[in-house]
Amino acid sequence: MGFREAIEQSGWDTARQQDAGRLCAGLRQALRRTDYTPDDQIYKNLDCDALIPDAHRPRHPTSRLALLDELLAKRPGSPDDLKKAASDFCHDHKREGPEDKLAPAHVLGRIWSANDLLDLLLSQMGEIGHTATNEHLRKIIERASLGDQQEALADLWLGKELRPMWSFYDPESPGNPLTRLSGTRATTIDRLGLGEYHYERPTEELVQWGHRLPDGKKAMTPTAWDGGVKCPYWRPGGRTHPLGATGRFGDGDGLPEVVHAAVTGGALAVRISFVAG
Amino acid sequence: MEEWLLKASINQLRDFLRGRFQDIGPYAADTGARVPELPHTLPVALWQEADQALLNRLIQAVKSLLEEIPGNGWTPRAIEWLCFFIGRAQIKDPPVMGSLIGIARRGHWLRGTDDGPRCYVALLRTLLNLDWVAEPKFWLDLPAEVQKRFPGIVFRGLLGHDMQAAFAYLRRAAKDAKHARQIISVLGDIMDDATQRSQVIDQLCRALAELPPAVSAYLTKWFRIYEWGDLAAEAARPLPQPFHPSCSAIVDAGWKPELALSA
Repeated sequence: MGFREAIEQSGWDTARQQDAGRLCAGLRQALRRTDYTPDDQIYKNLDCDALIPDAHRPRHPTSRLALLDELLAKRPGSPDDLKKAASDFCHDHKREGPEDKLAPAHVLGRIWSANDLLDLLLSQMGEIGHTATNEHLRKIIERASLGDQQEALADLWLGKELRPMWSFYDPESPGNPLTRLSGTRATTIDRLGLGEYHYERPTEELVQWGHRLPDGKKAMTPTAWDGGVKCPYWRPGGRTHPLGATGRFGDGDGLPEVVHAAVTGGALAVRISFVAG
Repeated sequence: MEEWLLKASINQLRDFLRGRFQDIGPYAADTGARVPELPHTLPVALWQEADQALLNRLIQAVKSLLEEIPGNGWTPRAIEWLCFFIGRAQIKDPPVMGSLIGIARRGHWLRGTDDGPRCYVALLRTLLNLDWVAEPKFWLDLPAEVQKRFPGIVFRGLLGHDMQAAFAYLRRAAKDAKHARQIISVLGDIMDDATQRSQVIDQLCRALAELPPAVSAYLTKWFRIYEWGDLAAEAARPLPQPFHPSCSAIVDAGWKPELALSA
């Protein structure tokens, strides 16, 4: 399993195989993150995700060989171009992982930047005639009950419409995935492996909520194509990868995570609240 | 900030902004990531970091995007993101304001775009966010299709002139809970001002009995949630004089509050 094996199975002639090998080395370099250890984790995710087949397999996520084929065809000239081409490929192959059939029976949890959520909601409220301030929405989060939030946000998207939304659930607390997260910003982002908020945006105010998938909507286990080329904190395998920063959680303590179509406020099952500092 | 953006030409900036807000092509934001990026975040940061030369190019790029709508693949959602960006970045420069006002006066987004009323209201909302003030007649003359669906925007436009006129409109136009939600959202902007707050409560108490039950129930409930006051209790109190929709006419005729009190 991996790019090397994919090339060996490709049936390509020697020259093309050598090209592909050089491309992999270039990709590893282009995706390197000097601010994270191991610095080639993003490449490793693409190389090692067991859900991604090396070569084409029906009813499986798109193969590694398909990525190499596309990159060889595009022949990106610089590391930035190579990274961009890989990013575009990932973008085109999201939500291809296997269906998580347990997820619809659980309330799914989500942690996100408060400002981003408020901006997303405000951007949809043109029809309501609101200003660019978000104080009104903050009050909904601070003061409204679950039922009132469902009413106020019923037709507003809680993630970018038509795009994947990442969620997690807790099999030991199917009705509320937030219950066992210990409730503080540090422990929450640690348990869920949200390095983006630990390392890159350490002062970002966060919100949390729970939602149910609408009837008939599926949740998929994320693959490295969902993980993309920017996030070294994520790991393949279908569970969150604790950061270990607070020392409370080990690798085995991640929670199942899924990707699914974005939902609206009408799907809320646990009220939106600010994550305590 | 990516280096090329700081040096980008007007055409490059136009393509970049179009790609961001239409969510397609190489400039689309990574909206499906675990920590997603929203379309306006990078353009707002670019606007805030720009030197005068880049600001001028951005202004021209935004102006030309406004003028290409409804062509070039602008969906209602993409238009909302463009408008949201303009409002968030507070782009009040004459070329952009001129375009926005021209489009508002001509109303051609109403007919040329998919879901014209939605696009048009996004534009009007942006103008209000940029402190544009139109005459009451502009708001009252908005097409019926806009007023029927979005009375909140007319209410807000009128509030900029005359609170009594705005509430008189509210009594006539608010029909259901969706409309009430628009009104609550508009009021959210002014209820922190103590003077306006007492006037709003007074006006609403007078209007409450005349509004459809779904509207008054929604308003009463959200006033309580926001801790703006107990509308039902306020409405049960005797109301001070003079406050009647026709009082402006009485005042015009030489009426003075102290005369009413002594009488």
